[in-house]
Amino acid sequence: MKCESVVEQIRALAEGSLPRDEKTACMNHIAGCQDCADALRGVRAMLVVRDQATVPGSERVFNRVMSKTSYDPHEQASRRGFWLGAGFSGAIAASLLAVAFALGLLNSVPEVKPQAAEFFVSLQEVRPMNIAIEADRLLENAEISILLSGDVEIDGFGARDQLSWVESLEPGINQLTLPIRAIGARGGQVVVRLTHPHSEQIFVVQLKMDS
Amino acid sequence: MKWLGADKNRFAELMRPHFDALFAAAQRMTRSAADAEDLVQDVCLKAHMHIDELENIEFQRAWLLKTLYHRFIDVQRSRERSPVDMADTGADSNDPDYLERVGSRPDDLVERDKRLETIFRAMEILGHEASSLLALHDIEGFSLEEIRQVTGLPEGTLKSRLHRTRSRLGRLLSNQDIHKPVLTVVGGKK
Repeated sequence: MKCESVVEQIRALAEGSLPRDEKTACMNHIAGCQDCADALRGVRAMLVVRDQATVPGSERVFNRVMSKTSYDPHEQASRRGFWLGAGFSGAIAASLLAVAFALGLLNSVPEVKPQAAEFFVSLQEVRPMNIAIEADRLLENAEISILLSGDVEIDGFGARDQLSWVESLEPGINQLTLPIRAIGARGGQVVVRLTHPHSEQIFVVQLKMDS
Repeated sequence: MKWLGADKNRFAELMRPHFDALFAAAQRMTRSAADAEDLVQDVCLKAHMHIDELENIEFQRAWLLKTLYHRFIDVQRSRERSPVDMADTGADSNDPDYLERVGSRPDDLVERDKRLETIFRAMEILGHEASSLLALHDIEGFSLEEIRQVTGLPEGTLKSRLHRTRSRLGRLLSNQDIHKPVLTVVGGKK
């Protein structure tokens, strides 16, 4: 018997379902072949994983996962409390990132100058990152895009590293709150991009680990 | 970026036949219903972004499970990097209801968890492609022909890779060094 034959039979051998004659031939080969003996150990390990008991996924779990996955971004962003619109309490105002960005005059300054700030994240807790967006007038249908990189995630969105939706900005300060969680030690970065016809602003927040 | 707010039903219909298999695979890897749900959600997010591609794949379940195993390796790696001891986050190991459902005693679970941790550490070392090939064939029971249709690799290539990966896993598991943290010399005289 050759190794190629063992490849096809080794799983049945590990499961104990190989006919007696084939089992004997297979075991004789394995006794003299270290590679196939290692392979048998590898297959047995996979069967240990396979044979673990599991509980079936309920309809409730399915619905929960679906509701977090397929969603209307505007509805979801509002429902999750990302977008608080204009006006907020003094307590929240105190926690806003120091750098706010303004759209300024439309039809002017096409150059995009990213502004930056820092925010400290933690592995132990989800932290709300509050960003102020200043608009000098009512700006309807402004698109807000969030790009995430590094060892961080937006709570409840798992591996999703991009979010985008359309909002109307009220004149004055509008607040965006993102619940940020660290998932590793490297920290990361959030880029908030705000676009409106003839105007664009980019805001970069460096996410550092809270020591 | 594509959003499917108006297509929730389309996505749910696509996922429903595979959900139990995904959730079971995720539980086997994470040993926690809560972590399994997070893992499946990550897979669904990725599937959601590739819905057009996924709808045209014959072996959708193999694609989804392959994505799940890739994501699991990523999560394992990020936990390795994390200064927080994630070993305690498998909260279900202490949940009496969960223990009753899976029919195991706590002592058995501790031993089994140690064994599984070693296997998963070895899978992490093997990497995405090798680990998912092994898992799809030896855990999930997909044939090489089915895996060929998902990966696009010739069956002969898959067969030799499967054997090589099984052997490598076996060697890793017989090597006690896998249990030890890796130390790197960063300075000083020899």
